[in-house]
Amino acid sequence: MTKEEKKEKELLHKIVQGNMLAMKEFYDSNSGYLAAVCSRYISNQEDIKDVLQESFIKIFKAIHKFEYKGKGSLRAWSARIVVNQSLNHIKENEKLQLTTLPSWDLPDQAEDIEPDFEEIPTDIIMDMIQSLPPGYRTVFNLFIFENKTHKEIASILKISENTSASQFHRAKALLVKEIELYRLKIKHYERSMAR
Amino acid sequence: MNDQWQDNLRNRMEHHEEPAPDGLWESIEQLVPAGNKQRLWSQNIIPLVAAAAAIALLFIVLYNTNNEEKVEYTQQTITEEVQPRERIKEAPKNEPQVLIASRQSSNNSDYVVVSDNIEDNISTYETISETISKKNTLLEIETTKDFTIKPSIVNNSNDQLFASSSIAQRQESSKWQTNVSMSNMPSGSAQTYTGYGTFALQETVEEQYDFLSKYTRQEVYTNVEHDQPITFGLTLRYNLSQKWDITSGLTYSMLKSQLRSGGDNYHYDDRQTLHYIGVPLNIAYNFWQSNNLSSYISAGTHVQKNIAGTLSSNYYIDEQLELNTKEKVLSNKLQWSVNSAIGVEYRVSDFIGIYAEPGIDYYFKNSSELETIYKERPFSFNLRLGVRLNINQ
Repeated sequence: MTKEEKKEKELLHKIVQGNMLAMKEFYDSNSGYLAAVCSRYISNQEDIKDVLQESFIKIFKAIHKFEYKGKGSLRAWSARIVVNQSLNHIKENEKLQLTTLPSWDLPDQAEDIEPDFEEIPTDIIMDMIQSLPPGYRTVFNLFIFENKTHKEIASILKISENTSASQFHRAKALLVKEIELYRLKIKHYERSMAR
Repeated sequence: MNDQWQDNLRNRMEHHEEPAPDGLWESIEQLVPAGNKQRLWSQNIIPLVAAAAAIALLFIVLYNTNNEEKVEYTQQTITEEVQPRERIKEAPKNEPQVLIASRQSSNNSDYVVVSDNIEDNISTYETISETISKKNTLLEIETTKDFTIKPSIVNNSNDQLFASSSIAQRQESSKWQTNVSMSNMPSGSAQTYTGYGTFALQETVEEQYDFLSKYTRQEVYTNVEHDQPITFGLTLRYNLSQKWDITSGLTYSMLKSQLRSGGDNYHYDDRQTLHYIGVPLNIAYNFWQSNNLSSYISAGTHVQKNIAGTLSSNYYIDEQLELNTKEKVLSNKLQWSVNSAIGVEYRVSDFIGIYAEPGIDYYFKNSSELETIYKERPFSFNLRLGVRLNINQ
């Protein structure tokens, strides 16, 4: 066991005992990452705060059940709780607006062109994801960041596999557009600066 | 197909952090189970503790007042919406009742307030507060004894335990709540949520997304309103007996809904109109009849099919109309419902009557994509109007 792992395990033990300082330490080192995870799913700042608050409470209450499996496992486990809380929130509060489109109705290029996020700052990527309609966004996040298959997404969101796949393709197509727009904007800006 | 971009994106975002919302830790700190607080592992313990405390206290009270009559105690479920303290009212002076324990709920916490010495003017209340994360079984009980409140003499109300000279009982909560709240919103349904919203199923979705993404990334919200549906019918009545009859026929319903989605300076309005044709089957009981008028109660089922629909969207920037799009909407799914109504029928002739039936409907879920009042508020008020032909006079 590395030194880091030992430290993390010790922290874990203190949190289980109800040590407030340990909880604060955990919060300080993970809140930024977990806020980012939550913000992928939810766009409204107040809702993000509510969901994160619920998530942290849940994490601290359930942490005695967590089995330590090495460095990063606690963070991954916490992120999963945040994702679940976010999904619950979406199901309760937002309309997913899932559109069922026949596959031939998709823009042709969506199959071929892939969004190229190279050189795009991560906070802009975050903005782009957040600006997707909730249905597209949720499916996209589950597919990309949670590594879920469309079959799994379908059962999580209670939609059909086809719907999941079409939401994902549309999200991808919109992101391609967003990226184009962003690059254009940058070019524009550079040109105006050069003048 | 190349999935490299997916891995790249994942890796890029793996280390991305967002600033945690202001005041987040402070609110977590208050709710977190800290070391010296006692933990309980089952939700069931709360009512048990409350009941045990209440019963124990009752004995003390009864002992103190030297009374040996029987104690009645019944447990009721708690209505969560009711705010703490709202229920406590002054009792009429001629019938003093002393509050022994009351259970109060607010959104996140549940209190049992117990007074343990009713003879003093000042008594100590013990509050047991539990913080509930609804789907979590782990609960936390915090016991504090450091504040005092005057004992309240209270009137009959919900979820409180009383000692009225000798008999303590928990009052039943009102059974009419649902009905009251129903009658408070007779005019359709309205809802607001954050984020984008749309009625659109097909091409309009793209249009609306483009519209919004062009103008802003600021917070957007959506208002949805569904008008109260009215159903017109041409129905036949078959008399089974003097009092009982069966009706069926054809109905037409129009459902109108409005939606506004967007931010402050720009938004779009969706207007959705749906037309339904339906076949009802009801059984009615006539409880009053005069020459031309009859009143009855009826119950039955109704199956409806969406036969046409339109969606018109207007796009506004700074209240200036920019664009209008139209699309046809249609659902193939059947919409089933059950209903109960009270009706009045006026006989125009021996065979023809006109009727009005205000009633309550329950619409079953169908997997249709359309946003309708049936979906939004499956249990709702409905008004049916129509012409009825009477057969087998």
